[in-house]
Amino acid sequence: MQSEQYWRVFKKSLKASFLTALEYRADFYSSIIIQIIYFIIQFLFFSIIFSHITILKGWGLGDLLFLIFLNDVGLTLFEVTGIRGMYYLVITGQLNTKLVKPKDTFFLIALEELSINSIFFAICDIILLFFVATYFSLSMSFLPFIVGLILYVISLPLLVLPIMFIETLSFFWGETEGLLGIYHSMIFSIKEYPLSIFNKFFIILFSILSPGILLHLFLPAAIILGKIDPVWGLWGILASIAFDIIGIYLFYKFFKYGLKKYEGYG
Amino acid sequence: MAMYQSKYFFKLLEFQWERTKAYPIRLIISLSWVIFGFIPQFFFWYIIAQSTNTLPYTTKEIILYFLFSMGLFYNLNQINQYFNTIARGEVVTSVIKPMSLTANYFSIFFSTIFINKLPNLIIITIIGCFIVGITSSILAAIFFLFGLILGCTFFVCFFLLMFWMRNNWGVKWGIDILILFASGTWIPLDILPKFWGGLLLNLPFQLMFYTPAKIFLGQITPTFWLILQYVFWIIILYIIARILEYYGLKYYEQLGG
Repeated sequence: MQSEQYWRVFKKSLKASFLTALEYRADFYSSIIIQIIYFIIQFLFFSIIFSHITILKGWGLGDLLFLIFLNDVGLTLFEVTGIRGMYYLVITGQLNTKLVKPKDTFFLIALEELSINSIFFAICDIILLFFVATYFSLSMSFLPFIVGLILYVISLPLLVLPIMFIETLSFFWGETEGLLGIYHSMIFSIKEYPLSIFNKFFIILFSILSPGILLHLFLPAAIILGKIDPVWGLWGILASIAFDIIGIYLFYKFFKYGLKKYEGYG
Repeated sequence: MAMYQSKYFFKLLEFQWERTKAYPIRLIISLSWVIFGFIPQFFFWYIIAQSTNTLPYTTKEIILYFLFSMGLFYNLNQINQYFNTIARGEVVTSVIKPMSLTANYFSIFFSTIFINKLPNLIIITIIGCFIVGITSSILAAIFFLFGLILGCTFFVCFFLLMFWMRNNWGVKWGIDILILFASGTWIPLDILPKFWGGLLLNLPFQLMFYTPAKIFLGQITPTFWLILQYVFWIIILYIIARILEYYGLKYYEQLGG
């Protein structure tokens, strides 16, 4: 019964977002066109770079583009949810509208302004992945592909959990926007390059700051493209499951604690 | 009127400065933002510069180029909050005579970005004084400010287009990418193939980052002709902005007015 109600709310939100996207058609079409232009520019950028070098620490042009588009899919799908704007709801007091019992507050926040455009961007990324794999004749074996894919899906929460923690921090501190900016800046810069271009110190530092950088932004693509033994992928899957469970549990506790401290409703 | 507008402009600068002082943690966060964004670029370009000798830059030069462009890069995100003002009807509070909407927007954009980038500009200029020399560093900082005036004038033109486009975030994102690419922040323009490089070097965007960065490296000597280019594009963009403002306000309907 409870799950049915949640499903109904989810469907309504999705429909409302679709209708909004249809209402602002110019915005929707221009976003898609700009996304395609962005891909072309990225392609042009790396083509120019690879006209000066043949290989970048064991990664060719096709490998690098595959890594970029693969990393884009997960992050773009996260952008669909409303979690990205939680801090804004908290600091402006608009979170009050989400404190509707018996619905879970976090669920309602996640449904706030669902970005339908991002779903189409993710589809564009997947199409481009196939294009890159075919155009550059990237060799992929079945087993590494499956291991890499499972790792990619399971490790996605690890990349977005820090964002959720920082967003929740806004219950106690009003300056979280800057921290979010730093994390985004780090993630969006690193996702463009294989982790192997950094020296050991930075690989360890980035992996400690966010295990998702190693387990989501690097290992899956490296395993799929046969640059790392799939056994490491299995270890990665186990580590991701463990981190996911601990991370999500801690986040939910932290969120509930933050909600208790929230004074927006007086 | 000019007196009134300049007074308003300096008041805004003062206000932004006071606001920055009130939130000192933002300065530290802003610097960390640059550092985390710069580290991957550093490694990427370091490896490339080490692997090839076909680039028109040495390893040191390419690192300095990206230190300059990444450290001082600004985009529309920094003034995002004003993007919707026309669509939301809030622009009416800015249409107060004798101030023009163009001057109003320009003052807000320039003061916001300038104060936000001031710590980075000071740090990069000081670093530059030790590595590339005092003259190049200070000249680069001055030309960066010319570029900022040009950039803000361009942003004003774009924001005024929202009278017709409403809140079109797709186009906004496109402009972000255009500036990133055409201003040479993403890649130095002289590395591009001849056609693209030639095209972008004739557009005003290169004056925002590419030219100041080349002055920073001592590869371009500022001339009177270069200053004239800045003045020319600022005047052209200002005229476009005023035309857009005139027709935009005529077209605009707010509360039946």
